[in-house]
Amino acid sequence: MAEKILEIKGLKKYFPLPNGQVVKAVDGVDLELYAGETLGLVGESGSGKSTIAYVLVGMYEATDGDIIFKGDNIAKTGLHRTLKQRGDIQIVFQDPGSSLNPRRTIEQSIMVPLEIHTSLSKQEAKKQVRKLLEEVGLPSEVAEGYPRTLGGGERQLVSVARALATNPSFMILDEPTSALDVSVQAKVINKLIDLQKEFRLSYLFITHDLSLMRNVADRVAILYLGRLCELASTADFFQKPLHPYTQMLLSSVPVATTEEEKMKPVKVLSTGEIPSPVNVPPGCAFHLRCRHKKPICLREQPTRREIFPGHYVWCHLFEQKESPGSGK
Amino acid sequence: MDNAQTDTILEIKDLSVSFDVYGSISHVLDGVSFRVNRGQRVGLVGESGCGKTTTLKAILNVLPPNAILNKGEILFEGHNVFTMVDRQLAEMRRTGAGMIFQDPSSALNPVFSIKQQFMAALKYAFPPNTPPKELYEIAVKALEDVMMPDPERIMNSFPYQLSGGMRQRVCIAMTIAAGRKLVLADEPGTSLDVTIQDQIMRLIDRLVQENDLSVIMVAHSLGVIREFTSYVNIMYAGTLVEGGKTRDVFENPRHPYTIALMACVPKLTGEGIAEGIPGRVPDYTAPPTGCRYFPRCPYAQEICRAKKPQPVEIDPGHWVSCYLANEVS
Repeated sequence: MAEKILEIKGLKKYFPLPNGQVVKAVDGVDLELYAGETLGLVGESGSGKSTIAYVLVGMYEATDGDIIFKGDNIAKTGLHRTLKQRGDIQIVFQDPGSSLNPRRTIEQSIMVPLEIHTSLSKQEAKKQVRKLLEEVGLPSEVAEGYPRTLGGGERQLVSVARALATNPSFMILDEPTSALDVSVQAKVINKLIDLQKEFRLSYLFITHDLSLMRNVADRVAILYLGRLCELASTADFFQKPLHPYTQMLLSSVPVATTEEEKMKPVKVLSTGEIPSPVNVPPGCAFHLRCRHKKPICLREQPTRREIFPGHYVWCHLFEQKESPGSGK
Repeated sequence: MDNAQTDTILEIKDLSVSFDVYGSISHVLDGVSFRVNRGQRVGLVGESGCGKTTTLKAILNVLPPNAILNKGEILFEGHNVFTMVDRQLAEMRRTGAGMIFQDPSSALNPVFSIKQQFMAALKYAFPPNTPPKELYEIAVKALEDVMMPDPERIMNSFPYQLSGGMRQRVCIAMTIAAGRKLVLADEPGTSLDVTIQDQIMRLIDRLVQENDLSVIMVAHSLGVIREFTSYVNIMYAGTLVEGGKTRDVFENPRHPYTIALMACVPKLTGEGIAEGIPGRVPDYTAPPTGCRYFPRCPYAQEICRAKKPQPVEIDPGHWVSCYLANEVS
């Protein structure tokens, strides 16, 4: 088993509103991440995916819970981390159009982390910028240009190069390709996979695209309203999705081939919408949309159950290891 | 569905549109031709900036002022939208064709209530002497049709009080309520979550069936197109490269671009992701001569640079604009 580099325990992130209400963006999440793996984090908008990313990277302080990264608890540090810790966890944002400063050349943008995190001289740093650009598959001439001269995919690769500048071991990819066309997405994803092998990076890959997740992640975690529903290896997950929500999610994916049609479990018609994280329903967060809800689902929050080795589900239906929709 | 008896509601013939951007001319659409039969669902697939939305705007004749119509015509029920007089054009937009936009947040005005916007839309679509009470009832009925809970409350809400999925339902209700015949759906589910997109697509599917509508569905998601349409056109850089029955095109894509595009889509079966398409979409101010795809095409030959390929029918109803249509697969 690979070394565990990150352990999230009972992570909560609440945002108080001026009117006294509280947005429970992340409400008790447990996750582990191993060296060199890609953990896919899937959920709809408002499920807390990005909040988890921002807490991990230090943009937010956790309200409660622990984040153990290489032995240190960094849950409440916010940005007051050691330089080493900050450099070790990097993030690539969704929209490369707004994550690069339009008034800085590519070189200037990538120089910033090099100036802060390394002791390279200006000349060496400039050389390093070009080396990083080559690592992500861009010609070194790109360095002198501005973001506007690049296409979306190239811009995103620049963001990746900038994230690599601090020599991280853990990278958070927050919907890195959802703003890109599929032909461009393919290039960026393949590059990310290559880089992961080359630098032995661990990825937390956030996306709402299950088809993409199928092709990049080693394990998949499904998030709904700030809580986990299901966690499994990608192969297990797609072979036997257990949670009613994940079944609904998978049924909803529009697919381009008939072979993929067979990958969908029983067709679970999507109903309802994700409630506001201000008013998280009591009990299981998903019970308002669930076809299989029982009285207990309205009262008690389900806890983690291991149904198969490494395949966890948070659902009251699995007390006797039964699967909803099985045998239909 | 595609037989000769079914009549054509819309026919686009050799449409070429350019844009004047501060004096430099972008040649966007180049010879786009396709048709929509009554009751047919036609898909238009392509990547960002390939001219899908421009095509839809041309159909309603709402191209921006800097657009230049080089040639071509769009016949809506036999009448060319570019030569219609204002009254005919208004009539066509009112009862003929309506659009559902990609982003329901910007399609609705944030400072007016749903009621104000809905009533304004209906006032435009119905005869001027229709009493407001009647219009209000039509609106409420339309909101019920798109499965909005408590339509009266929704009518008095503002867009910010509704979720993205609900806003899109309102937009759909506004388009359908007026009893239009052709719906132009411009990526109606793209900005929504996948479970909500599924609901919206099923909703459109049901409304189209119930009201016997014709649809042009624009999307970059091949999955949406495969599940919703019966006929599909593949668009690349302002030109149509392939078209046919959706099933034929998806099972047997023949244009090198269609093949590459389909390979790039991540599959649920998880066989990895293709390398992507090398190069970039061309610069429209100086698009490639001949086939617009040839600079990125692995099969490109001299003739592809020299002369624009004409559509060739390779199977009944399945055509490809490529010199190598019979060699590539």
